[in-house]
Amino acid sequence: MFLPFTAIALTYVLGGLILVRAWRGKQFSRFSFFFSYLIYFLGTGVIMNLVDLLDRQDYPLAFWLRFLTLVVAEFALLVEIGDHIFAPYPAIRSLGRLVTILITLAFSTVYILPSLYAQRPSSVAVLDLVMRSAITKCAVLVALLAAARLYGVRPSRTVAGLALGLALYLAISTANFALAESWGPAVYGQAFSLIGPMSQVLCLLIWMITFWKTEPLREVAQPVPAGGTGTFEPLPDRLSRMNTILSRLFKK
Amino acid sequence: MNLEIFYCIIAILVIAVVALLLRPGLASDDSGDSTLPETAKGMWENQGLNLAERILDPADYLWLRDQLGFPTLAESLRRHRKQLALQWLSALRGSFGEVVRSADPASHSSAGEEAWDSWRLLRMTLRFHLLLIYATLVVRYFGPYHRLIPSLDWMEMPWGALTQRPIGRNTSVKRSV
Repeated sequence: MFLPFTAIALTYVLGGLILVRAWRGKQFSRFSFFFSYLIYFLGTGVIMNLVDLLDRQDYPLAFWLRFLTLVVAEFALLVEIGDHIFAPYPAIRSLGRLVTILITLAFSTVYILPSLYAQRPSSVAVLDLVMRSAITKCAVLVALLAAARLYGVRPSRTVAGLALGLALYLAISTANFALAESWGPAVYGQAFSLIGPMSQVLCLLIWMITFWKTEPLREVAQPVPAGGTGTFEPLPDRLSRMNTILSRLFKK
Repeated sequence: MNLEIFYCIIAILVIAVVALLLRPGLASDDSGDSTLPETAKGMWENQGLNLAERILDPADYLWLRDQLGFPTLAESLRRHRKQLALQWLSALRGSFGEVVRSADPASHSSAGEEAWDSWRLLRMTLRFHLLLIYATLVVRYFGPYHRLIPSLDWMEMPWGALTQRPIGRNTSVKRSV
C-alpha cells in the first residue's frame, strides 16, 4: 500500500516540476502537445484519486476511460516527437508523420484489430489491447529513431530524452500488461498495481532531467551555392535534378 | 516459449535498441560546421558526372572483348568498374544525405504551401533513395553495364512482327552485357 502511494505522490511531484521548469524555460509553445498530454495526465490523475476516495464503484470505468484516452494521445505524442526530429530538415520534414501513420496503420490492421474479435473476458481483452498498442508505439518509436539514424539526423537532447522516457514507459507497460494477462489478478494483481505507477515515475524522472536544462534550437547546415555562382539552388530543384541525373545515368 | 516471456524479451529489446539508436556519435550534427564538407561539392557538377558516365560506359569493355579479343582482360575491367561504380554510388548516397540535412534558403512559402511542399520534397527524397538502393543492387548483382530500367522490348514482339521492325535495332543489347 505504501509503495504505490509513494509512486503516485512522486508522479505528481515530478510532473509538477517538469511543468514549472518548462514554464520558466518557455518550452510550452515548442512542445505544445507534450505539455497538453502531461497536464491532462496529471489533471485526470487527480480526478481519479478523488473518484477513488469518494465513490469506488465508478473507479474501474473511470480508470479505463482515462487510460484508453492516454493510450490514443500517446500516438499523437509520437507524431510530435517525429516532427521535432525531422522539422529542421525541409527534405524529410514529413518523414516522422509518414513513418508514424504507416506503422500504426500496418500494426492496427494485422496486430491490433484481429485481437478485438477474439472471444475472451473484457478485462483480458482490454489488457491485450493496451499491450498491443504499446508494442505498436514502441515499433513507431524505434522506426522514427532508425529513420533519423539512416539520414544522419541526430535528435536534440530534449527530443532524445522524450523518446527515451516514453520508450521505457511503453516497454515496461508491455511487459507488465503481458504478465497481468497471463498470470491473472490473483497472482500478479499486487505487482501490476506497483509496476504501472513505477514505470510512470521512471518516465517522468527522465523527462524532468530532459527539461531541467533548456536547449537552444539547432542550426541546420547551409547549402553550397550552385556551380560557384554564389546563388542558392532551391531544394525542390536540387532534389529533382538529382533524381533526373541518377535515372538518366542508368537508363542509357 | 510462454507468451509473457516473449513480450518481456521484446520490452528489453526495445529499451536496448532505443538506447543504441540514441547514443551519440553521429558526425553530421556534432561537428557544428554550418557548411557542407568538400565531399558534397562537385559530386553533381560536370566533372563528377563525367566520371560517373565513364564508369558506367561499356565502350571500353566491348572494345576489349569484341574488337581486340581479350575476354579475360575485359572481364577484369568489368570487375574493376563494378567496384568503382559501387564506390561512386556510396559517395552519391553520402552527398545526397548532406543535401537532405541542409536548409532551403530559397523557401518563401506560406504554412499551407509549406505542408504540401514538405510532402512533395519527401516523395522526391524517398524516390531518390529507392532508386539508389535499386541501382546499387543492380550494379552489385548484374554489373555496371546493366540497364537500371529493365528492357521491355519483349513486350513489343507481337507488334514488332506487324510493323516489321529491323532486328538489329534492339539497343538494350549494348547495355545488358
